[in-house]
Amino acid sequence: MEGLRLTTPLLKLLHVLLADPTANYWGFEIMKATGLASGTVYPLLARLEGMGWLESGWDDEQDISGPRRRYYRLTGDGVASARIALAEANSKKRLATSTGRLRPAFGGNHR
Amino acid sequence: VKALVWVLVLLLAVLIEAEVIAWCHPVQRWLIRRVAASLPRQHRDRYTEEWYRECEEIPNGPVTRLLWILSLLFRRRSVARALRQPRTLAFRRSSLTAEGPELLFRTDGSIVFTGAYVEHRSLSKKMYGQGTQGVITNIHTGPLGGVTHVDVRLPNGEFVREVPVDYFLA
Repeated sequence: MEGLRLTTPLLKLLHVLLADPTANYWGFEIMKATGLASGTVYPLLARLEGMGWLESGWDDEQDISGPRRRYYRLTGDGVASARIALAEANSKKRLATSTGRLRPAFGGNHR
Repeated sequence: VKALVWVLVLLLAVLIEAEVIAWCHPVQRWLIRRVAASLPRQHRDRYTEEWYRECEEIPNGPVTRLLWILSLLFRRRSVARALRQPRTLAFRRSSLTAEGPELLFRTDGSIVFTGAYVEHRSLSKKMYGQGTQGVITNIHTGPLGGVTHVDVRLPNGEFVREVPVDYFLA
């Protein structure tokens, strides 16, 4: 999966989608749940759809004229991959926490 | 005279407000079409319709809708880039640590069921409880190249075939 980095927005998005993997979500609903801007959510949705993690379709059942709502849903492979991605992120976080961070020693010379 | 001026100012403000509100909708749609125009041709109609609808359903006023569109406008190249990428076939596990899931699914690796799994056979079914341990003997990948199922050998020598990986993930 070239170029997919486990960024915080991506992890937030996957977390929301995995809350109910069989549910249909639409863009604004995802934005509200994740707190992300439209300019962040749509590139991620497009990327995940291109990778086969998500499938999308029009809501044709609504009896409303005008533009239709587009729904997104995790695919079977998407559910497995998203769980792996979140597990990977968690393991990295645990590793970072356990090893701690190297910090510069302030104060200069030791005599 | 002062009162008359105030009435005129108020009237003018009401007219300007009505004019601005009347222009909002076409301006929003024009901006959405501008964003969609930067996408690959085959995706333009889809995203135009999708974003028209999304924009209409934003519960707040025209300023919120405008901000929503501007966010898209500034990131339109990211959307276009994502759409231009060839369909990727697998989840490439990046530089994983020893605790990462890559090692979770390797042949001869130990594995633990994190959820109860029921194996349906022709005439019966058998349940393997949460916490059951085993060793991976074979890994199955899906059409996208990701690991989907594994075969597991239990400590008593029994084989459990094609268990979905969902049963090993937290």
